[in-house]
Amino acid sequence: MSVIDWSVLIFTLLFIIFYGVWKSRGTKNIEGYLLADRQLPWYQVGFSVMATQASAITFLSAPGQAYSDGLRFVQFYFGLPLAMIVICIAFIPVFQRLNVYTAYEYLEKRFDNKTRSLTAFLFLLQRGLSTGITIYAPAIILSTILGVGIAYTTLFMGGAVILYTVYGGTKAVSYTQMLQMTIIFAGLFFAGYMVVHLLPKEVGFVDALHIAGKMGKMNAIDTKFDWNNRYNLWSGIIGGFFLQLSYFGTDQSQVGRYLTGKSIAQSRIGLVMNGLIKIPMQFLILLIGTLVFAFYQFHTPPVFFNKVEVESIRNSEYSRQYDSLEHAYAIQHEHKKKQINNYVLALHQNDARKQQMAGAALKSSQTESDTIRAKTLQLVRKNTGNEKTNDTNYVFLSFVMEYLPVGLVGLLIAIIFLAAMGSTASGLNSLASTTIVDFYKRFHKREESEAYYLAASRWATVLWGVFCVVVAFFASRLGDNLIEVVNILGSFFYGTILGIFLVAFWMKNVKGTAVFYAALLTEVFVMTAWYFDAMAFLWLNVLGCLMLMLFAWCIQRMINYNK
Amino acid sequence: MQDEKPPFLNTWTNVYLLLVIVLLLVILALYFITQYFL
Repeated sequence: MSVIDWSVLIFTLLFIIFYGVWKSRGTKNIEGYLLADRQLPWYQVGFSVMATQASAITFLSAPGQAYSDGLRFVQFYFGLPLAMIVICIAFIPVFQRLNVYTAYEYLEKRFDNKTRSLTAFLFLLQRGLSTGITIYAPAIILSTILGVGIAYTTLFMGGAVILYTVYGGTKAVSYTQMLQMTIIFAGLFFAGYMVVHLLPKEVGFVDALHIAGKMGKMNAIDTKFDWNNRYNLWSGIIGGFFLQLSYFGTDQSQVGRYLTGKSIAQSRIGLVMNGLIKIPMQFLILLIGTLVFAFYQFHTPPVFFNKVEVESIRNSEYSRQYDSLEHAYAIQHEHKKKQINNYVLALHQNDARKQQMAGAALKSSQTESDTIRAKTLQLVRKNTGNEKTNDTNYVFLSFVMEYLPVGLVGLLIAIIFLAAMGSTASGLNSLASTTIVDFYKRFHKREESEAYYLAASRWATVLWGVFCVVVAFFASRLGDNLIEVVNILGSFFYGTILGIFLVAFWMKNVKGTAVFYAALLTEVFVMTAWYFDAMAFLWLNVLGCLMLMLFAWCIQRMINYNK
Repeated sequence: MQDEKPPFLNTWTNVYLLLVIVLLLVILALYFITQYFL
């Protein structure tokens, strides 16, 4: 990276950290620290909710996913606006009126202490692991740029977030997130513009989409229903709805964001804003990945984007095999280039017959390229000994580093850091809230001063920060497509937790003991379904939620019958 | 804490309806894009 890029990166990061610390000075009580005194306006709630969900993984993995898999990942978010509606109607009024600090506090009021503690524990387990992964993702980038070990970059990344989150609490998190999202939107806009700008002169934006489409990358909607297809219209709307409802309605990292709204209306409008913007935003991020794919049709891409793995395989017994695959890929790419030029020519001539013929030739050429890339992936996996190794997270980063102009590289790297900092900060803040409110204050020290709990919250943030950094050290073993790892991890618990809340809201006859045992039973079923690969992970949320409601109802009937 | 009216569209039902309509339009637009660039 050039000096200018480094300057842009360092200035942006320092500015955000100091801004957060400055805006959050003077926090004196636990309500100020954990909920920003419940005084934030709707736009700040909205930005905060969006920044919490949009981690660095979003900006690293999503374009890479579009490069190899097309736009179909956008369907994952179709359930989100519907989930926002249910949360606005059912969740926000209850949480706001009861003046709770965490979502799980409500469960003790409705059920009993053991149900609250179990749910809070499941949240801590899931969020603690997920936050560790959100630290790991940008740590890879810094590691690649500086050429130092991931351990050092993980420590640096975790340390920076811990610093301002511990000092400023929720206020620091919310103020920095608003600024982070503004910079992120600006940076993405420039990145999208640059990809189109870097295409050959005779190839326009629409031509690029036609090329990507011909090679199966414009597959935004798949209407075919399939239990084992991760992303189609139905899994997105139904499975996505349950996942998003659970995430936004019961995950304290999100509940803690909209509890900061100064009224029910302000919290609701913040979530409506998220419901309106999220899908277009995700689509644009994926579209950038698709455009990067189109760009690489005119510039020879590496057969495998992760340079560290390439270096490793070059020094291994598979070196010769790799070289021959790389050579074959380059030759195939040159051959494909001719097909692309024919196709572009046919597009410009508006000749349907030529377009069809050139398109078919292009498709078969792409299939050959894909086959070589798949063989390379198998070889790399053989070398790493990890069946989940892939290069999705490195596609966008490689493009940024190699082709974007000085200054913009620094800004885009900063964006990835900012995104990571935003979601990690929310994660740490919510982990601290739940630990202090649902466990420490509930079981250990019930009557202490505000200053005491404020200090305890800060210590809890530090301890969770350290835990997440430790998790980050082991994150590379979880697989390379981090966005899916986080979502799969969430799907283990989200359905169960959502079921508990839905029973609380709408099944008034069911009591705490029934829900508690139903939750334990449901977790066994969800884990079993995942272990035997019975369905795509999004459906685990539906399964968990519905099974919990069914089990709770049955167990309650049995309890009533025995009485 | 009062359940205020929304700052636009008069009722919350209208606001939620707006979300549903926008979602349907987005899905339709993406379906069109998928088919058009096939």
